Amino acid sequence: MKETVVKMEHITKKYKENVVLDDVSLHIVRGEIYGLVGNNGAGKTTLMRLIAGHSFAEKGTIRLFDSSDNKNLNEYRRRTGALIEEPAFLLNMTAEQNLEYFRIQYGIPEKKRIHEVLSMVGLSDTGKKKVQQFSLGMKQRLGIALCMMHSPELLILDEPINGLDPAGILELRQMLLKLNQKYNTTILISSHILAELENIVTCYGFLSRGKMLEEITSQALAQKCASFLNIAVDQPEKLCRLLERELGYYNFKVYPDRCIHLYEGIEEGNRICELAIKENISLHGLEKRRMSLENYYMKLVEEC
Amino acid sequence: MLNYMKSEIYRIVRDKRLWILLLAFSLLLAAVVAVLAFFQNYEVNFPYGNTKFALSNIYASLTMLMFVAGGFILLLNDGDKTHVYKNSIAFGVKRSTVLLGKFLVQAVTAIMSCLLLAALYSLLCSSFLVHSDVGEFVVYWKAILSASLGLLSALAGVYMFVMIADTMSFAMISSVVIMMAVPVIFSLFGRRIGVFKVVSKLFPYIALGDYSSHTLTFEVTGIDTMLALLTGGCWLAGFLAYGLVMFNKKEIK
Repeated sequence: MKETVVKMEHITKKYKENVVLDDVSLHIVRGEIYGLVGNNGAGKTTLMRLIAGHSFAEKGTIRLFDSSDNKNLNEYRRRTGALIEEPAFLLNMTAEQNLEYFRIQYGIPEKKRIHEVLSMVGLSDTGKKKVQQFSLGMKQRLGIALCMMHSPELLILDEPINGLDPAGILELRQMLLKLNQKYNTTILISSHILAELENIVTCYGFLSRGKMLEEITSQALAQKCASFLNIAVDQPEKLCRLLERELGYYNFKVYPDRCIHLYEGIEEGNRICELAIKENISLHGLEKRRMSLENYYMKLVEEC
Repeated sequence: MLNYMKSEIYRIVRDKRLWILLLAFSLLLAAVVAVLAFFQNYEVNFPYGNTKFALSNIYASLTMLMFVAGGFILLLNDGDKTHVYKNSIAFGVKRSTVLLGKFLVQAVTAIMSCLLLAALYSLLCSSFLVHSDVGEFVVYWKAILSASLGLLSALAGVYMFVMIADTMSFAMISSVVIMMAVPVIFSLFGRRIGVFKVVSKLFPYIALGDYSSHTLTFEVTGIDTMLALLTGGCWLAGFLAYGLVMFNKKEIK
C-alpha cells in the first residue's frame, strides 16, 4: 500500500468569524500529482499554508509522510519544498546569493546544487542582477529553484505558473513531470488555468467556499466527464418536451445561449434530428462534446 | 539553530548598508573630534576641546543610544520586507529558532559595532584632545557597560515588534510608544504622584536617563548602575518572551 504523504482530516480554519476551511479532509498518496482546484477564495492557499506551517487550524489534524501523530511536523517539513503565494527573497542580493543563504540554512553541503537548480529553471545567467530587479516570472522561477534545492519528496506549489511566459509554462510542466516520473516526487499544485492542470495531474481535489467537494483520480474524472450532445436550437423548450415525451430523456441542461446539453442518448443524434424536423423545430447544430474540467467543477459547485 | 545563525551572518555581512552605517558613524565621530581639536588649537580658552567634554557627549546621552539601537535593528531587517523566513518555516525550521537565531546574530553584530565605535571614539579623543584626567574614560566605559542591557532591551523591543507586526510603521510606532512615550508619561505624572515616579524608573529609558544625568557630576551610584542593568535585563527577557509567544502564533504571509 502506498504511503500517504499528506493526510489532512477534518480541518477547520477561521479568520476571526470568517470560516475559510470547513471540515476539509485531503489525502495525497506518494507519487501523485495532486491538483487543487477552486475559485478565488475557495481556500486553496490557506490549505497549503497549513501544510507549510505558515498558519494553524482551529480543528483537525495534519499528518505528513505517514507520521503517527501531528506533532513534530517540522521534522517532516524538511522533506518538503513549498512555493506559496509570492516568492520571498532577499531583494538586495543576487539569485545565487539568495540560494546560498538558504543552502547554508538548510545544511546542504554541495555548493554546486545552486548552479544545478538555477540551470533547471533557466536563471543561470542572471549574474550580479539583484532580485529586486527581477520580473515576476524570474522571481517565480527562483522560487521554484529554491523549492527543489534540497531534493524534496513533496513539492507544494501555489499557482506556480503565475507570471511565466508560455515557454516557461512548458518548461515547468516538463520539469514537474520529470521530477514525478524519474524521482517519484509527490506534487501538490494549484492553478487557475485548469487546462494546464489537466496536462499533468493524476488526482484532483475540488474546493469551493472552504469545503472539499470531491477528491477524484484523473481516470475516474475522465469517465465522469462524460460526453454529451450539444444541440443548438431555436425553441429549446419545445425540444426539451420532445426529448422527454418521445425518447424518455431527462438528463439534460438548457443554457441561456439556447443550447441544450444532453447527457444520455448520445448516439441517438440522427433520431433526435428526425424528431425535430417532424415537429418543425429548427436545429442549428448538433455535435458530440466532452465536459471540460471547468464545466465539471461548475457543475459540482452547483450540485453542492 | 547553528545553520540558521550561519545563514544570517552570511546575509548581514553582505548587507552594504551595515558597512556604510559603520563608516558614517566612524566619520561622524572623527569629525566631532576633529572639530573640537581644531578649535582647541586655534582658539584661546576654548573650553570644549578636552576628553571630558567629548566623552560626556556619549555617557550623558545614553537614551539617545537607545534610538540608535532601534534604528540599527530597523536597518538590518529592512531588507526582509518579503518575510524570507516563511521559506525557513516551510522547510521545518522552528519559529523559535528563526526568532532567536536572527536576534542573536543581530545583537552580536550590534554589540561588536558598538564596542568598535566606542573604542574608536575613545582612541581618537585620547589621541587628539586635551586629557582632562578626571577619570572620564572610566566613567565612559562604565556607562557603556551599565547601559548594555538597556540598549539590548531597546534592540529586542524593536526587533520583536518588527517580527510580529504586519507593517514596519506599526512596529516603529509600537516600539516608540512602549519604550519612550509610556515611561515619559509616567515620569511626568510622577512629578505629582509618587507611585508613577516609582513605576517610571522601571523602564530602561528612565533608568538610563537618570544614570546619564548622574554621570555629568560623576555621582553615579551603585543603585544607578544596578537599576540600569536590572531594568535592561528584565525588559530584554520580557521582550524575548513576548516575542516568542506572539511569533509562534503569527500568521505568516
